[in-house]
Amino acid sequence: MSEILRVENLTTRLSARDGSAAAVDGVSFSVHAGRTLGLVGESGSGKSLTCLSILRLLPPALSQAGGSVWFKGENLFDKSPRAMTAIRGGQIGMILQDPMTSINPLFTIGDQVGEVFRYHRGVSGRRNLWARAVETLRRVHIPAAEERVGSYPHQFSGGMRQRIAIGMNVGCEPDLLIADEPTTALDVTIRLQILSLLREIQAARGMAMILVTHDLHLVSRFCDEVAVMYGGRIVEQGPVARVFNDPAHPYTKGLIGAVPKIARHAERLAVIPGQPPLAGEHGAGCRFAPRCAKAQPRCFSHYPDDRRFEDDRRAVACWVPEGLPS
Amino acid sequence: MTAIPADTLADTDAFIRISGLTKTYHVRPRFLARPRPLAAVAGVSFAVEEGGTFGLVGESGSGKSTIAKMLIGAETQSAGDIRIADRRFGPRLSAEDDAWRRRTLQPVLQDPTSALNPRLRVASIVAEPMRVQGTQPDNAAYERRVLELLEKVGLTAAHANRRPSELSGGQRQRVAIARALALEPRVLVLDEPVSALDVSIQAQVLNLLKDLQAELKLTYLLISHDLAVVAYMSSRIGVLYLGQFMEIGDKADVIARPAHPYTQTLIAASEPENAASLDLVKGEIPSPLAPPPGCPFHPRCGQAVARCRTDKPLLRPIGPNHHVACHLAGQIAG
Repeated sequence: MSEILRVENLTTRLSARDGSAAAVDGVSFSVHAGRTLGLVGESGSGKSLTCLSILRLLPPALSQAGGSVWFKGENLFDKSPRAMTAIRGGQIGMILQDPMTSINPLFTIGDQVGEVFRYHRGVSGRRNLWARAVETLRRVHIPAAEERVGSYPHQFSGGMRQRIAIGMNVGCEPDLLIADEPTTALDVTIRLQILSLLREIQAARGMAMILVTHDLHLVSRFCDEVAVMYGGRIVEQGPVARVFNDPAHPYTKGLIGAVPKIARHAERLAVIPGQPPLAGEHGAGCRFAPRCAKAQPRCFSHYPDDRRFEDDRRAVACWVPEGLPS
Repeated sequence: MTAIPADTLADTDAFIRISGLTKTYHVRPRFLARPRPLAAVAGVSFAVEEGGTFGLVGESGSGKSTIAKMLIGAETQSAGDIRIADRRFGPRLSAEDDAWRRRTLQPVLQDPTSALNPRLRVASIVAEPMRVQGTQPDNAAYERRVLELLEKVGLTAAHANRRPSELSGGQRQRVAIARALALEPRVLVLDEPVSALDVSIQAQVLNLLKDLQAELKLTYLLISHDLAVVAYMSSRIGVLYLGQFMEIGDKADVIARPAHPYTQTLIAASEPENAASLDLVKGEIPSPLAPPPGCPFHPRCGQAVARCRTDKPLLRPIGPNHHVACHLAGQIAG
């Protein structure tokens, strides 16, 4: 099982704010071929910023600070902008929540899916490009691909548009696919179809995948590993089944308890009091301490180091983790 | 229009009773094309008991928000009957009935950011419905009442002077709830009230809504695409698909013994970690402009037989308070 991506101590600063607070603060994880990492967290936890930082797609108001992103043994932070352009869409694909942010409403689907092959594979001629587009549309199960290749984006449903966006991003057989809330805007029945499609493509090619989501149900069904983010840091990571069955961080535990379950007849949901910190606005200690029932004085003054356990397969950043000696 | 069997809830218990409710829009499928009828809601009947919560669950285009709009009077029904506490609400309303409905039913919508005027302070937002109706004698009384309402929804006097932009999403939704409670309504129409909120905040707001219901004896109509949210809050659940009920019944029956393949699909899709197979449902929701003949769900149903393609199943009882619109219900394992 080869490591495709290793993120080391990634730190992204919001330069617009005083003191340049870190919105992503020392994030480290790795993703292996054929495996899926679930990146979980609430809004402002830094999960989307982490993905944008990896691809160096940050908005101008943000400036990169530290860390390194090793993709197949090379640091992406050392690459030239031109080299990054070749990597994006070629070796690393990215899917966003709203497919219309990556699809141009004024061009046909055939032109846009074909464009990927023209740019990354040097295919030329409209006929050739459309042929590649039809092939790609078939792969993402667009019915009647030959007839639909000349259609415009508005002639497709939301689920079909997401399939097209996926096609554009996996057409060049990337080694890594980053999917940022790819099904959040879709109906529940369509959601599963899209995720099954992603898994089918992954299985065929051994692609590594990062699935960013706030939906714990999807993580437990579709991911191998999970990293839980809070306030710009990963507070806990490990194999999905272990983390969800036996959460070590009080935030992970609280998050799992706050999700209503269909069949469990709870009279009241467990609640995490208070609200998440705004990006970059927190003290020196654990970001979760102000909402944590177990918080001690040191939780407010010092950020806990990562503790590895269960043969180094899991890690938690907490002074008083569940089930571990503090 | 086919006959719709009445909900079995006894008349005396029902605070809201809706029967045969229909909304048909006329839309042009293409520029300059002849307008075609689009049945957003196609004959829906249900009742909500006083102090209870009726949960409407369905995917986009199922008509759930259209039902809410007709209930609060933002849309007029094409056909059917809306009764709230023995008053009938048809296309033509007396001013008195209209005013009564505006006091009695209050909506809480999905996105509190667009529901709150960004230029007003929280105190003015919450006081506005009361000032329109002139419920308090003087400014001091309005102020007292605003603080009382903010406290009820878990906010403090410190929030009263802020603008919506200075609040978090969860706090904004609390302000929207406080404003909805200002006129002491008896019914809250909750249209996706927590869909825009983070998981940990969602739980806080759902618990708050439960507490308010118990304290103020409120009746809720809850609309959500999230079956887990509906199951947590509701006493009765109706599952909508293309403007019609596929299944309706007590929460315990619909959740524990779902009889319609669509309900079973929704449950499995909502918690896929428990689903045996991910190959749950074929295709997409059909266009309501060209609804399929027979059962509206048949093109996507894994268990459809020849009859499902031609005969439209009517809601029929399969247990006390439990109705299902499926030819095969009772024959397929739940």
